[in-house]
Amino acid sequence: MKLQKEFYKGILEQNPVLKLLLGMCPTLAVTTSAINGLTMGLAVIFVLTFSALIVSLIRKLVPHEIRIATFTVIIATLVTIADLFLKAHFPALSKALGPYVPLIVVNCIILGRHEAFSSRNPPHYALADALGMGIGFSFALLILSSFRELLGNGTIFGYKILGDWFEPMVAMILPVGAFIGLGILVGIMNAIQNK
Amino acid sequence: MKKFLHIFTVLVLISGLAGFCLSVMNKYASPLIEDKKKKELMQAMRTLFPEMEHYEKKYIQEKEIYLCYDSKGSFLGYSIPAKGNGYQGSILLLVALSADMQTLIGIKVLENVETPGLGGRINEEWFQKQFRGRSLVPALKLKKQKVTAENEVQAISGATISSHAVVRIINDTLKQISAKLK
Repeated sequence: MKLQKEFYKGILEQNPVLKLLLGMCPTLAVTTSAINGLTMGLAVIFVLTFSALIVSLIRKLVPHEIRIATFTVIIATLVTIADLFLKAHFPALSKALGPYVPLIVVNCIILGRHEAFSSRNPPHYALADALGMGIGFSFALLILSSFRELLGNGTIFGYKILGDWFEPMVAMILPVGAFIGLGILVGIMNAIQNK
Repeated sequence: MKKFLHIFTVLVLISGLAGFCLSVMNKYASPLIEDKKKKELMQAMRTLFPEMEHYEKKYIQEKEIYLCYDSKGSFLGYSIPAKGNGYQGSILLLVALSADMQTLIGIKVLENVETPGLGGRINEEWFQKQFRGRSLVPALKLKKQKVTAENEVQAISGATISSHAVVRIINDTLKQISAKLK
């Protein structure tokens, strides 16, 4: 098992959002603007990597019966820390993301990686896997949210990209735009990989 | 028995550690969060009452209201943080009332989780600006078309519920405050 392979697989080949189709809820809900997508991605990277490290370190000590409960407690603690940090230092972003930061606790990607990988592998591999998956998630979110913000508002990260001639498609910012955007992205991903 | 003890110990340890980390983080973060909220409130008050020099904080049924005075000591009006239900969640407004409570000096949307691009547009300058100087007699009213009376404001198209929530919160606040102060 190679370290780089475990890291890279999360970015493209087994991208959690575009290939494994996990973590759909925050992906659809939060990608209304590029900065929101990016912040969510960073929060997930933080929670995923630190919890993967902890889970892997204590994997031999936790009885099999209570592993899910233990993972959840660790994840929830880290998410709360991330949420408080955002509220204290970036209140505007915290408001924009709303309830979706606390909802990271039930993000399937995190629990899924711990159950499938972190709890069965040594810390350096667990960390590589978590980082790769986290970056892959952020990457997918960044692309989708930039796409939706561009078509729905004419901007990316708040900077006006499309001129005044452009009539914003508000539907892109609504849930319908999320599903359509995600579908297009998954389709493109499949097309590239099947070449 | 041994298995049970093992399970019990691990759970207690993990929960204990988690609780400890959270209380440390909370201790660090809450003053910062309180501070940010206070700053935002003060800034909103200053925007609505530019001549304000000092204020007096009062409690009405556990809700705080601020009485604003200018440099000469004359009473400018009331600044009231008001919370209510919007479309997606709570909306927190700062409502500025004139001294006689007949005119709405203005509002500032402080917190909301409304849909970005639709209900979220209550944050926009133009929407909040139209509340300036509106009459509160008989009550503030929401209209979908052009505004024709002194006590009307126009809704955001596609965001009637969020717009209506703002108007309702203002009217409710006025009702509660005037009942207690008159």
